[in-house]
Amino acid sequence: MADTQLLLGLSFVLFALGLVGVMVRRNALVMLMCMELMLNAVILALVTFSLETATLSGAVLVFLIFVVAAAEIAIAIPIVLLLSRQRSSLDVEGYDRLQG
Amino acid sequence: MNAPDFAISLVYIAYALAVLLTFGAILTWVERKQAAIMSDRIGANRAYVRIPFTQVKLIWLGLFHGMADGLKLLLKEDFKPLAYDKLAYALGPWLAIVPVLLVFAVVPFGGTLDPGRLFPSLAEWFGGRTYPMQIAPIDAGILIVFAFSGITIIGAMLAGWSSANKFSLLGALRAGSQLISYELVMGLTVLGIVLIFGTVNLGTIVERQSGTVLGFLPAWGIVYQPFAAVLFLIAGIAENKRIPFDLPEAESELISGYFTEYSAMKQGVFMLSEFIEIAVIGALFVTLFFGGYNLPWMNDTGFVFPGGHAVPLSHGWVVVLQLLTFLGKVFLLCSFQILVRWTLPRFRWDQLLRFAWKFLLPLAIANLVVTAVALWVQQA
Amino acid sequence: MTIDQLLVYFFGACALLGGVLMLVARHPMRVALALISCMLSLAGIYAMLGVHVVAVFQVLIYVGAVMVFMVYVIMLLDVRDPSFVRRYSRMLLPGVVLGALLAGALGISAIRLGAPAIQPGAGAAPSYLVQPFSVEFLREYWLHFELTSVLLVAAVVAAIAIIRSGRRSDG
Repeated sequence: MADTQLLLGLSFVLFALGLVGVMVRRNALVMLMCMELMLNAVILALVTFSLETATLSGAVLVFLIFVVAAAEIAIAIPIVLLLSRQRSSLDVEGYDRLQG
Repeated sequence: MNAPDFAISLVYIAYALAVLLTFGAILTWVERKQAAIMSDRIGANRAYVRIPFTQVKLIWLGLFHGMADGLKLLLKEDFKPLAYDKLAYALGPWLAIVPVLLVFAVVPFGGTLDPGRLFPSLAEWFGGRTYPMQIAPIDAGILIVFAFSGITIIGAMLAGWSSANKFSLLGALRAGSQLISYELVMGLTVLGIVLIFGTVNLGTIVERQSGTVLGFLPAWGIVYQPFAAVLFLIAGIAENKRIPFDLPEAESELISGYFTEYSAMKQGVFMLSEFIEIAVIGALFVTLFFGGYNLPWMNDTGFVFPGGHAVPLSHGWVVVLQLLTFLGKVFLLCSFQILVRWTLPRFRWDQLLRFAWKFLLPLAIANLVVTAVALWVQQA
Repeated sequence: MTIDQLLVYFFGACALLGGVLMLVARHPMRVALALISCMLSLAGIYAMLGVHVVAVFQVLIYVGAVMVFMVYVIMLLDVRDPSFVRRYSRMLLPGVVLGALLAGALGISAIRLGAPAIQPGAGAAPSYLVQPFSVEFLREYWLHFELTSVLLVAAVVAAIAIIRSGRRSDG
């Protein structure tokens, strides 16, 4: 298997792990961190594609993802903090006030 | 990587480790002696080494106190707190000291080394290759410095959180917010230098400081950006958690701050990392603002004085002069940081954060704007 | 098998290990440490591939800012939480099955793609040194750059608004 295929495979596995983490874990902060893992997997795929096709667009998109990830974490964590004060816990199974 | 490259890398790494660890050890002595001189005392002069089979006790101005401290830390009882997070507790000292040592890997401590000229008998083994005197001549030098400084923040916070102690947690919170704020200020002040010299490569920045400005001044960073130099030094002292910014380890408030529950050599590692970081901040300031490893009006071939008068030097002399100049300048900066430590009182917590966000950050941005406008006007 | 390739495999294995540990660890701080090690390994991979700019910014922004913020918050919120004891939600089995199916499908598509056919862009391979990369970046993608600065301003304003509203609701 070529090197780029292995890197792409790693990126896919990390993405799947992140997705499973968001679905499976109960702690809100851990879910946020699994989302960051998904973003990192996408960054790895983008860098691999940028090296394969010998253009810069992949790396440039990586920088945009850095900015978006930083902005997202700056807003998502305060939201989770405020939400966790409603139930005094970070367990997402307890955030059920919107249920019917 | 072939054998000569590997050998030169090993030599550089050995030199860097020797320099950093010696600085870390010597600076403990310098701190005590300089503090004593500044306050008109004698200082610590009790530790001695007795020559065996005689009664001659060598005191040597108190140099052995550093050795005594090191031995004490190595031989102390190593206790562990009761309820603590084992992994983070073990990781804390590592994450605090390793990035500090790694930052020195991108700092140039000399010009270009040509081993073939220094050792003519080995000339054909080296094959005419020249090596810049940096362990890692990476293009993104300054960015790597900031990247590794970010890892030390995580080390300090982990150390304070993992010891199940409220004072340590307070120290960790203070460390986290302080280090983030002042790292931001440091980044913005360095941007002015990056604009002027047009590169983030530390070796290239030092090379471009070997010219002249206005005909007679050496083209050092402090001549181009004196304001940014002062801001960088203030932010560097704050990054190092030294007085006047040493609230994370405030001795009279928080017992020992974030490394309260670390005994023996684990605390020694934190202390050593702080003293090594004094040298590293000094080395960064010297590289960016003080002309690096060159004396004024000197470059890799010798001296070029204003007026065109050139004094060429042999390669061996140039290398030795550059190494000694770098060490001398770093020592001067470390002495200045110790001077600041023993002069100023400690900031209060809200004063510290307000100083960073409402005073230093606007000044750094203003400095950047003025630099950018001046460069644009000059190029128009 | 040169040492460069060995290092890439090593960093890849560390990244994979970090990802798996993220799902298994109980305390959020351990998960954060696993994620930090995963990010550092990915930065190592980028550095070995020669994309130094992305590697340095990965450590600088992700580990040095995003994860510092995450560790700070986990430090603050050290509550004895029911989510520490029961880590997994009700979707454990469907989640794992779906993840395996996704990874398998993507992996099969990657194998079917075969070895990559290098189609170089307009010109030679781009340089990932800082100066040429930055010049190229700002020459072609300056609009994206400006839009991301607008995004950051929006994020700052939103963060302040969230904190204000939280303070108001606390009374």
